[in-house]
Amino acid sequence: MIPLIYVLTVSLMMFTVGLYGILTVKGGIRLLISIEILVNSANLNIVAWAVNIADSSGIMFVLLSIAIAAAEAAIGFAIFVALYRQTKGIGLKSLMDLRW
Amino acid sequence: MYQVEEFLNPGVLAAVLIFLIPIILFPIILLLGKKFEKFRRYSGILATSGIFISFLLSYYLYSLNESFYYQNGWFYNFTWGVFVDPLSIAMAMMVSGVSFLIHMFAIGYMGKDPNRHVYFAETSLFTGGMLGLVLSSNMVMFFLFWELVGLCSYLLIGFWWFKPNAASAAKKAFIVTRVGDVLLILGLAVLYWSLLPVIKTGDPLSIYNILKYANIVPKDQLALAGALVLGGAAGKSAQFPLHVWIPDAMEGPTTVSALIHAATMVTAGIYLVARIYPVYLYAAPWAGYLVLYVGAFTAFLAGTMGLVMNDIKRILAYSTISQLGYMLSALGLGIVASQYTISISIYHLIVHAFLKALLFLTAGAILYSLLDIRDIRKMGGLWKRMPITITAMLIGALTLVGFPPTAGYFSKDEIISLSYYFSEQNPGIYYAWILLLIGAFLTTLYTFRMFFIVALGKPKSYAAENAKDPPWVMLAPIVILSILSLIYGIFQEGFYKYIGNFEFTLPLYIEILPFILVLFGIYIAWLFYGSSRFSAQNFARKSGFAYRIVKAKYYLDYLYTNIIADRLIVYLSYVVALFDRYIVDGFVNGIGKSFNYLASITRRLQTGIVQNYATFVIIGLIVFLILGKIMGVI
Amino acid sequence: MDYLLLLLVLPILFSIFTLVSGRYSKILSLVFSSIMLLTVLLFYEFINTNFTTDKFFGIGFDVGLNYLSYPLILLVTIVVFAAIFYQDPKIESSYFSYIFFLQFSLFGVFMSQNLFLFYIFWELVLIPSYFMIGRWGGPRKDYTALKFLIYTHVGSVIMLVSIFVLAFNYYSLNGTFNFDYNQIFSAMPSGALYYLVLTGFFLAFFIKLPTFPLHTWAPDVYVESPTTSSMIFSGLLSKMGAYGIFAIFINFKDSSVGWLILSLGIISLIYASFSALAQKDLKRMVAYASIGHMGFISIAAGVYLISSSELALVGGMFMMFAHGLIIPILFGTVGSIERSTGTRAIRDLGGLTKMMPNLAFLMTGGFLASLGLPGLAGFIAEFSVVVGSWQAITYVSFLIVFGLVLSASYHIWALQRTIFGPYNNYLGKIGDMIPREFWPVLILFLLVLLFGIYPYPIYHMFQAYMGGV
Repeated sequence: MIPLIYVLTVSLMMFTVGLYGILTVKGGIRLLISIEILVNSANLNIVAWAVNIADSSGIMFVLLSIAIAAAEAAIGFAIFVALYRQTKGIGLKSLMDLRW
Repeated sequence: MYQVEEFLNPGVLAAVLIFLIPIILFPIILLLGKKFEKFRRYSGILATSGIFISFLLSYYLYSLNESFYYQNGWFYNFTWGVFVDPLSIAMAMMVSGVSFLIHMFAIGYMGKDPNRHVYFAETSLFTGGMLGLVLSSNMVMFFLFWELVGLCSYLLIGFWWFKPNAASAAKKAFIVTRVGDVLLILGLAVLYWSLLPVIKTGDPLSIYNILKYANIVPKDQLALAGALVLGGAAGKSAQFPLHVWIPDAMEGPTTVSALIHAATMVTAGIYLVARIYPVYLYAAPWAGYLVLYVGAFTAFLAGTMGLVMNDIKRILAYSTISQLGYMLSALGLGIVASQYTISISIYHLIVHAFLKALLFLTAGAILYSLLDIRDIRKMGGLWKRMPITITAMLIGALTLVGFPPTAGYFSKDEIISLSYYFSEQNPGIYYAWILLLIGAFLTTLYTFRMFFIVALGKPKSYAAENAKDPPWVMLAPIVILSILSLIYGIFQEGFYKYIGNFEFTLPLYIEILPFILVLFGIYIAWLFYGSSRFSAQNFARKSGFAYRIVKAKYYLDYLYTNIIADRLIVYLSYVVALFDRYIVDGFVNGIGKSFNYLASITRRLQTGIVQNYATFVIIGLIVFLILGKIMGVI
Repeated sequence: MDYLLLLLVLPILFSIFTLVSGRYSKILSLVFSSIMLLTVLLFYEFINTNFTTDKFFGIGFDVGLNYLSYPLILLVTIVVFAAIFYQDPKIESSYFSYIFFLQFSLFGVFMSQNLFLFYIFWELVLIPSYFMIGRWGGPRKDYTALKFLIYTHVGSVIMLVSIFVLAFNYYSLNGTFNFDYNQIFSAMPSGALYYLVLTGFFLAFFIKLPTFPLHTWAPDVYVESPTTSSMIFSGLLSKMGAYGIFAIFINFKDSSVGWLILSLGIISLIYASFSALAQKDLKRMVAYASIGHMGFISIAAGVYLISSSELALVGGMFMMFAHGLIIPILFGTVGSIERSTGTRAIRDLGGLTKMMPNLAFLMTGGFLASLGLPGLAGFIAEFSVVVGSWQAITYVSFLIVFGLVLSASYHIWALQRTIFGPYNNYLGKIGDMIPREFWPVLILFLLVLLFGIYPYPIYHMFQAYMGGV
């Protein structure tokens, strides 16, 4: 068996990567990828614990979470299509209108 | 002296009407004259009649031969009312009588001036104010009338308001007398607090109370009050150093100068000191010496300045200041010697009222005839051309210098003799006697300088050549005043008994001394100005420096106007205004600006980039968690 | 007495009606303010009555009329009447609406017996004033309106803190909340809190008065407002501050506080007089004159705190009333000059008596009243204050009278430069005061004359108030 702590560490590293990505990326697709990484890290974490405690309700929850992540990605794409129609690009730099 | 309880007492009613009638005539004449142009011809007659009624009423009060007072609540502790005693009756009769004569003259003098209704309304108000002043029973009421006459003086000096000199002179008069007035208020404040513990409930500033209880009040407080009140009197009666407004006040019509600045308003200060005489009598001695020497010094100083003036009205103005100094000295002498010399001072006040009004009216007649030329160097030889007027002027001049048997001898020389009499017992008075004596000499000099230049010799201008006596409406008051000046000496003894006398005798050679000086003075004036023996110009050139100082009025005017007013006060005011605008207000604006600046920095947090916001959320969360861990909450 | 509520309800109703009256707004307002005047005169018999309600944490709608507030309410009605009379009818009807709303809040300030309610009305005054300056003011109206709002509001907010400190202190002492005037001051805290409470009330009242150094909003506000607004602001709003001092601030029976406000008052008087002397704009000069007069009120209150001199305090109260009548005269005449000649610059004016004799009469009368000429109401007040304060401060009185002389100087100098002297022909042919300007100013002047000769009606009311306190 893989020790719990290894899986949790991987999960933490994925979480950090995803968070960093959300906060700093400039491209729209990269943002979506970062969000996926973030969500998946949480999923991994839950699965690791579920296996550890041998409770399968956690895995059910993860399945739900994957579905939601997929839906959210779809919505994200829809927003980017609309944004592309407005600004002919999907860089996040142009979304600064509500500034001082 | 007793108190009258009810208002409807004939004496009280008469007293109130004496000052109320001319005051009521003010709005009446003003409004009627404004609405109906035809009425303006009669405004003078209306005003004169009102004053004549006041004169009759004051004679009625005199005939009652009683002293009484009436008071009624006014505000706080203070009361208003009338206070009738020989002093106030004498003043009332003098004011109404002289004012009546001057009004009569003014009817002719103002001629067809389009604003004459305003003039008569204002002089009527003034006369009423002056009468109220002498009859008031409470010092606050007194002060009210005091300022009222000051107001009328301001309005009447500036009567021809479109003349810049007149407007400026009125302003100067008001402000200089205002300085005196605020000192008077402070003096009243001291009196109020001094008398309050004595009187408890009642009016500490009622004249009856002041006269009755002055001897209980501590000496030093009385002296302080007296000195401050003297400051007020000095302002109104043009004593040194507040005398500078009267010469400028000559910009007003001559009848105004006669009425206000010779006979009546300027005497209010003397009346004030006489009225609260016991305050000075029981005060610490320095107050009395102050009164005496302010008066004596002014008498002397003004005399010197009268010598170098060329404007006929200004000569008379300085003469007035000088004579007021005599009146004040007479009071001062009594205070220092602890005697009641009020009668001597007031007698001279009345005689001076007659003679100064006479002199000013003759000057007015000359101005009327000579088309408003006031420079005596352009007159000359008027005696032949305006005989009645100039004879009257001669009578006035003789009275002024105190030539027997005119009334002036009985009044002014009496003061000089009095000062010598007291100086025998009190050597501190000796210098006052010297000042007054020299003053008499100077009086003669400038008076007869004026007379000889104006009356004798050849006319020095076209107008002077064609001068003639004015119409009878103007001559009549002049004649009446001349007669009064001549014969009023008869009433000296009666007057002294009436007001409360003080008798004394002196060796003959001392009493004659002023008269000898007068003769000497006339002779010298004749030498310089009557004949061509000596030339005044040469003398002036030789004395050079002294002449220049006197001519510049001892630079006192320069100090007040140019240095204090124009430089000090005006510059200070600019500094203050700029300070207010840029520093105090700048501070307020600065606070606003600093908040603006702070805001402009802190609002840069709103970058509009969502990721920045998200970063802040994450950071905040982490900080929160760490803090919670540290504080043991989580 | 429920009738007291009428005094509050009527102005609100009038305010609403005038809002919708359009062309007839001035006539309607005139009628309304006359009704108000009559009502207030009739309410003389309701002095010393109260109207109370149940308390919610000590806060209730308590109003009452006492001998201090009645003359002020009378003053408000008179000045509002005069201002409405004076106002040019060609203005939006909402202006009159604001005036009535202002009247409502002023009545509330003077009548409330509950400190919290007092605060509410105090702040309510700012709303109509902001608009009156900001919509119809002169060139710098935006800056001025904002400045006025923020400046006075800051002071008021700190006063709110003070009020709550007092209330909570009272609660800790007595177990209940009570905001009633007479009772809440028995719970004065000590130490640092005392100074906080003092500062709060000091700021609120002395900014409103106004007093040096918190006065700089006043010249701008009085100058930039339209004439009738200046009349109302300088005549009435400053009385809010004065009322606060006499009703509330007097409770700080501390003689060092007395010396503080005495000094501020004297500095105000002299400082404002010097400033007035240097002004080139006639209206700004009058604004500084108003500030100088309010210095007397500080002086009176200060002297009372030092020595309990009743004469001085009653003099200060009478000064409120007298000044409230005099200042509208000054602003009214300056407004006439502005309308008639098109300028307020003193150097452009001169010899106005030639073309404007009525104005000359009223302006001379007003200026003389303002400098304290006896026979006019201002003298009674100044005399009472100067005489009443001699005992307490002796030689400092010389400073006060120096201020009086300065005051006389700038007034007379202004008269000399504008009314007297040669006529400035560049002004051309100009008209005199028109009836809507002349009559209200004349009425005010006659009142000033009346109360100068017969001050007893108002004076004894203030004395009666002091007898009770």
